[in-house]
Amino acid sequence: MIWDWNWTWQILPELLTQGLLVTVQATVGGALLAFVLGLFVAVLRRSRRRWISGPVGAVTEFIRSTPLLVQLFVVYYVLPDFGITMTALTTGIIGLGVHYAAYTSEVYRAGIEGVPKGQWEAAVALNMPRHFVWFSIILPQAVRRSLPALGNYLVAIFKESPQLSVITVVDVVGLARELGSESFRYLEPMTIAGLFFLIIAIPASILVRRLERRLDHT
Amino acid sequence: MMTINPCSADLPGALGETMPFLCEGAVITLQSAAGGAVLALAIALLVGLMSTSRLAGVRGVARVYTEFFRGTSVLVQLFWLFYAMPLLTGFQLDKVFAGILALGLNLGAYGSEVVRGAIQAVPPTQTEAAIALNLSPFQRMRYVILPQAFVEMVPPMNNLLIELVKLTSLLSVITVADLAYQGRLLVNSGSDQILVFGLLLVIYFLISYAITLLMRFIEGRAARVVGRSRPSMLPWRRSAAARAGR
Amino acid sequence: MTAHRWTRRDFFRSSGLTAAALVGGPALLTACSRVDNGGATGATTAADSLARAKQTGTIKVGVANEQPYGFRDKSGELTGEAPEVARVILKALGVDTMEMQIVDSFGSLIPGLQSKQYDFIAAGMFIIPERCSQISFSNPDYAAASAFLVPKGNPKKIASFEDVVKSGAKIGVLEGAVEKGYAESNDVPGGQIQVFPNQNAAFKGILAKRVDAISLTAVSLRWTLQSQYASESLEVTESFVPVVDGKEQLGAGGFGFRKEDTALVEAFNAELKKLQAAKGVLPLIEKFGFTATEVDKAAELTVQQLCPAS
Repeated sequence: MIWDWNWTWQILPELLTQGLLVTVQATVGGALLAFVLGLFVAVLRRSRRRWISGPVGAVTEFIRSTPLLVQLFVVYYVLPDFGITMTALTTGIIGLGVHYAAYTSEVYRAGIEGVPKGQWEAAVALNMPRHFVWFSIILPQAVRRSLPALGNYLVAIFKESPQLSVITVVDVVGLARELGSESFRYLEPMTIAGLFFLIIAIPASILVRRLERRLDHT
Repeated sequence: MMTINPCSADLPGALGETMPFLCEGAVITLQSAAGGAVLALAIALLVGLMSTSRLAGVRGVARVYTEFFRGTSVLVQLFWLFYAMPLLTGFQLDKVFAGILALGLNLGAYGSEVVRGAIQAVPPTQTEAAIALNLSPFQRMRYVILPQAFVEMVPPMNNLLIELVKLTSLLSVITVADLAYQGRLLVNSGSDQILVFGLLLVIYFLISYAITLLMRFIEGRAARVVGRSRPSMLPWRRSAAARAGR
Repeated sequence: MTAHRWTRRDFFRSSGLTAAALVGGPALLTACSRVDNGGATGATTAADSLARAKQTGTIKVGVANEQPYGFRDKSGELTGEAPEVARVILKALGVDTMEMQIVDSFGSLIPGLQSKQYDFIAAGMFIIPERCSQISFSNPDYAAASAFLVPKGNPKKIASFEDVVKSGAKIGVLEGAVEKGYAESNDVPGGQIQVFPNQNAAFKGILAKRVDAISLTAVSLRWTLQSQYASESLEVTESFVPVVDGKEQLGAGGFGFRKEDTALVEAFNAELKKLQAAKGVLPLIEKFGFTATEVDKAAELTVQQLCPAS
């Protein structure tokens, strides 16, 4: 079977506008949630109170050890039983965000631990309150060190966003599937979807590496 | 001692309805993971070694491979191999094979970066000493560099293997009868969702934990062999040691 | 001493690599051989599906786990309207076992058939011209009308597609099923149509109020409601026959085969005709909620009538 160019031009606009829009929403939403929640979790895990750091650590390990797909099913199918119903896209964003928060928390932890101990000691010597130390001294440095790794996770979230199509989110891949099943021609939509991810992910990861190298120099 | 078979259909209530199917699925998951791991490790070693070559051409090929497979989405690859490729080439791949291929190629790309990093982390003095002792490049790699690099490789490989197990859940979308597939099927046929999804999560977690334990063991042995101290096997002791700055 | 350590190290690694080769080698070889099987052109395997099935006594069948058309019951057995009829017909052809392949969404049934994941589809698939251009169908064995699943009391008063348009309600349909086409032809805007991969997701969708109604065949809605969701406050509306472009769309369902499997289709149709003449279809599928009306109407129809172009 050869490539049908007519069909390609027909579906291209829809794939690249509607599909792209949903994919971008899912990626940006998921990444924002992961970055913010991850920072929160990282700080909690450093708490000296074991009753906080223990359970938080255990839950984080659990989320990291189980597939995103199954977690998406849980949020999409099980939460409504408890009265929490959201649109498929919101569900997907929450699933992505929580799953990757478990990873970004590790990144932040490394970033926090990478801040020289001298900073802490100086802050104590200067009798600064803990909140101030955290927010004005430690976290800015920690987050800065974490940026390249966070950038990598942004790209990862983008690449894993197609899993949302399994819970009926009509992103690029979900739309490709719908178009394929209606016309019985999967070749063109699927190839376009694949190329779409390649064209965006490769330059993005190259950019992240450039960022890493620039930050290393300072 | 009374032995309980967790997969038997005689378990009480809903467990007896669901566990036999979940166990069947778990077997497929483990088989796919094993196949994918073998392929990924082979590719990681090959491409990782290629990327440390002195020849720019060889390094370039490794780079292109790595960039390509790190830049694609596994699910899209699976869909493409399953739905689109047969139309393009006239060949149908067995779906488990297609899955193992996609997973191996993808994780091999990430693994090659790990191998490359580990090889480059071996102190250059080792290479110099090996050259001074008149070892051929092959002997240098095999007896000096790789054994030391191996120790560095194990922790990141641990993470990659767990990623692999998690990615096998995507095979359920191309109807491979793995754990996630069986779980969805059970829910579609009316079994209690909380129970089924809960069991799914627990089983995946147990598999990941088993892999972590296995990797710790391997790392311990590898470290001992190259003369380094053996890190503690238990994960929480390990992170405590890391926090203490060791 | 040092040499001794390296030797042990090497042994560990080389044995690991050997083990990997031993496992990976045969695995790759078997997978490759399957590619050979699958890669053979359609022409040479034309009669082979039937011959192969008769020889091995087993045939692979694709279902979408849609109740009551073709699904896996609690004990893991394949059952449903289509598999039960197929079972009897295949036995008469000398094929005793059906190996089920459950796809994750209705829309995957035809691609799966075309890529030889299984040899025929037993999912009560409607025989329509769009599908006939892709696959061959047997003659129909049942004909069913459509209905809507709505919350009890039918608050939005939905009884037809015009009502859907008027009330602005959101309806759920299955991926790859005919109802999406029906809705669109009746001018239901795209924003009001939500596609679900399978029946369970659709039911969960209406319970979670993601959609206001589900459009499917009356039989499947009634059956699934009664067997799985009896305690929920849902009801099925009156059956109706959707009209598209002035033509009534009575959904007649049959079995799907690859276009090149002509021998298999012919043999299947021959047995099906015998079964219908002996009035043997209804007793098999009564328990799934089918009545004489659905079965008798189908016995009068042939696939040529439903797909005039082919």
